[in-house]
Amino acid sequence: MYLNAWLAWSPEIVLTLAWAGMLVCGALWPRTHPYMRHATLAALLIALGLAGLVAANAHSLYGLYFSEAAKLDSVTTFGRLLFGSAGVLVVLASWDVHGEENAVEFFGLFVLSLLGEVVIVSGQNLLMLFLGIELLALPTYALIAIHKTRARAIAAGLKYFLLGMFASVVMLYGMALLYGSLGTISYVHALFPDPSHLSAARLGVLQFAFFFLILGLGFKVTAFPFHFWSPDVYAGGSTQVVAYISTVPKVAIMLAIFRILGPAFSTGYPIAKWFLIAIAVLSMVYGNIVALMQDDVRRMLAYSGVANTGYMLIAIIAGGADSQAALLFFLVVYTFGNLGAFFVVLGMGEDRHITIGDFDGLARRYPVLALAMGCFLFSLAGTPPLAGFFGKFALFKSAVAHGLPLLALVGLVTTVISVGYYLKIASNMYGDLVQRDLPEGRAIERIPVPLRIALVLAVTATLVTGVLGIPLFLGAL
Amino acid sequence: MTGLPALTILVAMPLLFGVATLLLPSGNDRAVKVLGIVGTSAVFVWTVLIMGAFSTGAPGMQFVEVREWVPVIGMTYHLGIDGLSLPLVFLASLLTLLCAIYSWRLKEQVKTFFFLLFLLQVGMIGVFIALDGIMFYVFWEIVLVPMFFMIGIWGGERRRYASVKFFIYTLIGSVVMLLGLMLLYMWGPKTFDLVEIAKWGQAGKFGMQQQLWIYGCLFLGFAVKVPIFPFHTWLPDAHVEAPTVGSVLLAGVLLKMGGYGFLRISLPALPYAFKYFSFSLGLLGVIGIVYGAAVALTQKDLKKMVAYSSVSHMGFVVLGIASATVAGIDGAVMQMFNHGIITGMLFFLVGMIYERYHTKEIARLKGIVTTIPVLGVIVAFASFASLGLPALSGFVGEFMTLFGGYQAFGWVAGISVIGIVLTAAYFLRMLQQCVFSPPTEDSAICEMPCELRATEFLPLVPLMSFALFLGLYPQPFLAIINPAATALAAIIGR
Repeated sequence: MYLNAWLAWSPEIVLTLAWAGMLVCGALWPRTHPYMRHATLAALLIALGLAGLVAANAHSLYGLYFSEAAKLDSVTTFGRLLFGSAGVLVVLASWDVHGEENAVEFFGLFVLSLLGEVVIVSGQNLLMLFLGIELLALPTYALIAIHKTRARAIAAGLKYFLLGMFASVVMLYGMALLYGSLGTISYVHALFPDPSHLSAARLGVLQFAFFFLILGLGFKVTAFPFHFWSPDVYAGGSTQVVAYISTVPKVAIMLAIFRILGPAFSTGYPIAKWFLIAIAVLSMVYGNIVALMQDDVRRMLAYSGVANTGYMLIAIIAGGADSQAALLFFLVVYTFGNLGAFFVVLGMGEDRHITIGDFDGLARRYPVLALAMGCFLFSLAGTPPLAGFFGKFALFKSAVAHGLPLLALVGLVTTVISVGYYLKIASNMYGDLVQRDLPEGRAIERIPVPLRIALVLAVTATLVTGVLGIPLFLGAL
Repeated sequence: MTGLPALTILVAMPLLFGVATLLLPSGNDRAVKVLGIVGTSAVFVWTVLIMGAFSTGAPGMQFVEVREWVPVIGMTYHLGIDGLSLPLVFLASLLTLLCAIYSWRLKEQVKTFFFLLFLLQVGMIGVFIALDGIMFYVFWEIVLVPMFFMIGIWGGERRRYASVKFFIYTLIGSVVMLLGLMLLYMWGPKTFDLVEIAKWGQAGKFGMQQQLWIYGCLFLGFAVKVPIFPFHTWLPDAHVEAPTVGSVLLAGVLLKMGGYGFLRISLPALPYAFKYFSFSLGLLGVIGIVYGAAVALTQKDLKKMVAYSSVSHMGFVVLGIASATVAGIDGAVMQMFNHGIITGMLFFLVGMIYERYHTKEIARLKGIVTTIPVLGVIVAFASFASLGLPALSGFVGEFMTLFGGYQAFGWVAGISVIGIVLTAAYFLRMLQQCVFSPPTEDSAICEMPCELRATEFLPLVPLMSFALFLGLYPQPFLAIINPAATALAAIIGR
């Protein structure tokens, strides 16, 4: 059993060792700073390989570990692989920016937050969840503010930190209430029991506690109305960090929410369920409409992230195995689409706000970059045959299949709204390909090779999951 | 052709040619154009072969390919073709080929253009042969992307506004239609296979309430695409800004997808709801006929006039479909084909006129027939075909849909005669103004070698031949359509 545990959690052990090694080496030998990125990349690739090996030996390694505190199953593996791949892309995108300055801090904190995400996904009780969230969140606060010279970044980091701590505290209160009324913090067998065995008073407390729990988690996943920090933080932090915090942490917490609620939830807790539905609907409607009005692309993507949270919540509300498959697929699509879009913004220049107008004529001057952006935009917009369509389709279908056609309708109609802002960029990029009646957009410095690789990988992921991956993903899960 | 997956090849061919176009070395525009024409010709030849192997008298699907695909979401790989879809597939192949020929003189972004053309063809053909709800929807949506770029890149002054409006407007319809398809799945046989769903519907297993809901959802998607009054407002903007080829395919093929949807999904799966809404649908068709014609009469822009004439002509399609009689459905499919041929021709002609005179303003165009006799005569020919002159093909479809409409709705269908009169009025006014009146001092002047070039004349020849041939002898096409139409009319009981 001990050997099994070592093997089963080897990816995390590798990352922890890498993190510790980087910290020690970085402190003792400053000459190693330029090699931090190599170390991180290597550690991530090894961890990915090990996660694949573990998954290949699922029958002997999957199960509960550490006194039922953590679970290794297909969802954990999914998380490991997705976080690892996204991590590789982020490291590539940060290759030149953080080659020398702040390298130890940047990559060390980054690895630490990735570990936090695995803790969140594999965790089986509220304590693990809280630890995971803090392990994830504390490094990201610092990552946002890591540009010491940029006032905007520091302001964003501070805002993120203060509001994030507030959300954590509220969530902790909710967890305490849950523990008080249930007498357990474990959700190995679903946290929310069948309500028919509960007294009305206890049911009330549970739903009350649920409200606080969702408030805290909703903050992290930028669900309306707990999203208010994200536009400022996204616009203030450095682009590769924003690309990271807008995707991977959200994915981790969504998976955790799915684990916590359990099968009894969708039928037994009407008030809590309506609360979630309200959040989902408002996220979709508000996020998309406000994104439509944005000029700064990163703010636009922040609001689009709010809307996408709404779509993910649909699967959680619907519940059931097919919803889980739909959610997982959508998370993959969202991760690569969003990372890619941010990487394009990164490629266009880090030093100032990139506005929608900066995309004018991009297709003529930088055709490949524009093509990549088009790919991400149409995938996020959910246009077939790109991955985004099948992601949204699976989500909405799970809603219809669980008797929530109106929720699906809201999702579908707000998708149309979202197309408005995604296409605004697309039509700016391609609008003067033939008739040149637009002012020149901004010139772009040479895009570094690692970022190019990251872009190519993200495009590949978007295309492959869309065209070939449907049966693979939806069939296997 | 036996043994070959004919329809998979049909839809894969344009995709492969599209990819091949992208792989050609850049800078060699001529090679791209040659590949474009060769590719679209190959698809056309393959379509003709399929048409030849199609056994005319038999109802039901032919060349069927069914395979499990993604059972988790109820998706199957199901292709097939019958009398409803065959004429439309033929139309899509033909018009794409003609567009490829017409684009011989394209100068900028040739590679992008031909790639988009092939992608568009994948969607257009795919919609008409897909027998699975998800595949149908995917093809339906794939069409939007190349058309968005065609309008957005090669369009006129307001191309960005028009392309985004086109995309969003039609997408609203499509997503609600998607909800309808999901409801068909959920309340139906738990599969997206349209044949299974139709069986389920004809066995009366959808509840009445359910049918009405689903019909409403599907209606919105189809109605925007057709477009049925009052969902037509995207059409004039898109047409006016679109480049010639975009307009031809938009009017020629894309509008047909809506009418086809009614016949392929709504009618067979939801007979009760179809009957329930039949009169309202027919009325909307009649309103469309009269309204489209009346608005066309007031247009100052030649292209906008043709765009509104589409609204009017598609009204006949809607009337025929709503009647659900054999004559009505026969006529509707016939009218879809004819409209594709004739309006496609008109948009080509408008493009040629605009290229020569740099204006589409009816008031400024004068004496085309004296300056460019061939062009003037063909414009007159196309106009007469479009206004439904007997012995040209426009007449056949209009007459049959009217006949079917009269069988089903009585005198209400007769109101559409007003539309026919108005149609004659605006076309004759336009001919008199632009083609036959002598040029004056302030009229627009032809600013380039005026004679039609071969690549312009060539696309017009088959279109004119079809307009004449089907006007005189529509029987071969009706023989293809009729078994399918009879089967559909039998479902409704008319």
